[in-house]
Amino acid sequence: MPTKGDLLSGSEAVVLATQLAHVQCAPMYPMIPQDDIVEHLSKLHAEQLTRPTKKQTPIGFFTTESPSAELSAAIASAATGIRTFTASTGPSLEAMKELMYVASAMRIPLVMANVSRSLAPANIWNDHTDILSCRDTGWIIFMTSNNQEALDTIIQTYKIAENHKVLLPAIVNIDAFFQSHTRENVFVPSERSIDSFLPKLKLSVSLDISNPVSLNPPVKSEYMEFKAQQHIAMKNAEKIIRNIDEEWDRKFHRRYGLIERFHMEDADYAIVVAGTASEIAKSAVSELRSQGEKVGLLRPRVIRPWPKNDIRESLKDVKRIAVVDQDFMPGSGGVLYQEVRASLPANIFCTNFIAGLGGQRISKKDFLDIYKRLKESEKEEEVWLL
Amino acid sequence: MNENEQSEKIQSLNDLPKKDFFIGGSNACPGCGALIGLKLALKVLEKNTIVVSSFGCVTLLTTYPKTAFKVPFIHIPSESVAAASGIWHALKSAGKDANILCYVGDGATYDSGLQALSAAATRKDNIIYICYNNQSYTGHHRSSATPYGAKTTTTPLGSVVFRKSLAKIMASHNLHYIATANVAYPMDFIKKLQKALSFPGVKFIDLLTPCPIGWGFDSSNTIEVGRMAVQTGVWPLYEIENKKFSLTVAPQRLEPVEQYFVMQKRFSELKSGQKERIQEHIKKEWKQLLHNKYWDVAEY
Repeated sequence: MPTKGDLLSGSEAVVLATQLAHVQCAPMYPMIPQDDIVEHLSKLHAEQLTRPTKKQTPIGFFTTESPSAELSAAIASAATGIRTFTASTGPSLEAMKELMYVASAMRIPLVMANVSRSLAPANIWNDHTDILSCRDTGWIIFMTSNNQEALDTIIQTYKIAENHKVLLPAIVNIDAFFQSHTRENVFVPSERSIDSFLPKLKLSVSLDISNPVSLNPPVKSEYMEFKAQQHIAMKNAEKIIRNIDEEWDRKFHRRYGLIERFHMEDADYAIVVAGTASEIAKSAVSELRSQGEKVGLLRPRVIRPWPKNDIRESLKDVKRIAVVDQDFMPGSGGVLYQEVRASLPANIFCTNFIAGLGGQRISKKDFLDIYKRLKESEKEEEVWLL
Repeated sequence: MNENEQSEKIQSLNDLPKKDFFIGGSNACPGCGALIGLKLALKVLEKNTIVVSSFGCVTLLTTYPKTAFKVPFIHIPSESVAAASGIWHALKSAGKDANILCYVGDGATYDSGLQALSAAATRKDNIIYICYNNQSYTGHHRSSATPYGAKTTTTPLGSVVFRKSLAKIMASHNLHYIATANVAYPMDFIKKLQKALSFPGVKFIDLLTPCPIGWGFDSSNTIEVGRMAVQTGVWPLYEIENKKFSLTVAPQRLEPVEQYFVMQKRFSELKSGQKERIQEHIKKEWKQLLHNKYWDVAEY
């Protein structure tokens, strides 16, 4: 096990992961803040062109003129049986949504990094509304909280998505700027260790001249059958994600699970929060614990397939829950709140905090205030941290 | 590209390979011009070909679990040319080669896929792009390829706008090969397709494919309607090879455009003033084309 890591930004960690995974095609549409990933890839591509080596895997990098073209290209590239990577962010993610449904219906094992960004009014900062609005697209969704996890998850996700019991596209989310443009210590696995972890991609159905098939034809009466199969694949994915996480742990001594639990063992109060804000929440929880408060933190890492059982098991004995959403559905509320609520018995006290929209920073003090309000309030409510 | 050296030998329809890579029994309407074009294109391109199409008539020819394609086929909504680019870059990365044929309708070429087509042309991705142009969407709605005066399901009184010249737009991308073609002139089309294969980058062929249902003519008249489009000068057949323009089929004398109108119900709303306007334009355009003044031609 390495004792000293490298200082990598989230974007750098993601790009490095795609290199370790031997990605061979990467169509990209640059948009801030995901453009950091695209720029790193273009540098790698330029290096390959100016200093070619026999050992290198060509990264097949090119830029498109629109997000939907980017995903169209990525789907077709992956359909040839070649490992493909692409990346998106907020507005770009919304613009490619039609194709996201196509990718999952076609059962294309494609991995996309998303740098979560707010949508409108124009704002380039972190916000989870984009990634969580993809919950119905049929993609496996990971939300990472640090750069080590981002690197590890990208590599793991290729193995998950390409598993023949899964065959689904997957998104790995990193937070805009807090993660994408912030350097952290990251242990980078050796190329050889990843080669023994991640086998070469072999699709049984692909765009292959010697075995011609027609992909994505219109479907009539079988439509519901196709949807049911996507659902089954998602359920299979839950088990495969667990298995691969365990395998990763055996090999690299790091594991993440479908949810992360922090001081949840005997907690009476729980804060549920996703992404980088969970790391700040942890310091608040530690401080409260040192004062004798029985509070814990739960971070959903996998959003689809939604780990309903893990969440219910972890929260069933808790008195009160605060779900902190960095996303919002006007006229309804927070996405995570609704998902968590639907996983629990109706009598559990659950309050929704809306915070961090459009890149608003959530501080340790905010989490201390959230805890205080959760503990003291008389009824369930929707609270905005403006 | 070596795969195609053999097929450059097709000099007459008798030389066409017997083997079809788009077989019978598909969902195509009787008399479908787009189907004729697809069959011919695959006879030229043969086995080593991947076909890409947007949602439209050609995609509807295959409905799960049936397919008439004997070569790999993929359907991607609207921006299928971006998918073709993805395939080209992926195969290049893996050291493989294949003809990548985008066989896409005018709706997804002139309208919803134009941005992606322009980008692929600019990047010089190696793609054969054939627009099967039935001058309307699959639901017979007006597209930017619909001619002035033609009735569609969204222009019940006839289109009040003129179609745009996509060949000119493509020409401004400095492509090696651009051509118009027509299924009623199969050898002209086949020769152009064979020639296109010798060039790198995007090769663009705008193929007129008369549509019996959308245009309102009997399904036995597809070829006659197609021929009349050329003989009246409505659809001139030309190519732009390495920026050099030439007419490939030049009738001695143009027939009156009225003969084209009477064959199709879609022109039934045309008033006499409109007809004269169209006829005048065709005359002017034809004169300029004969003098190779392609760029001077104002489209309708």
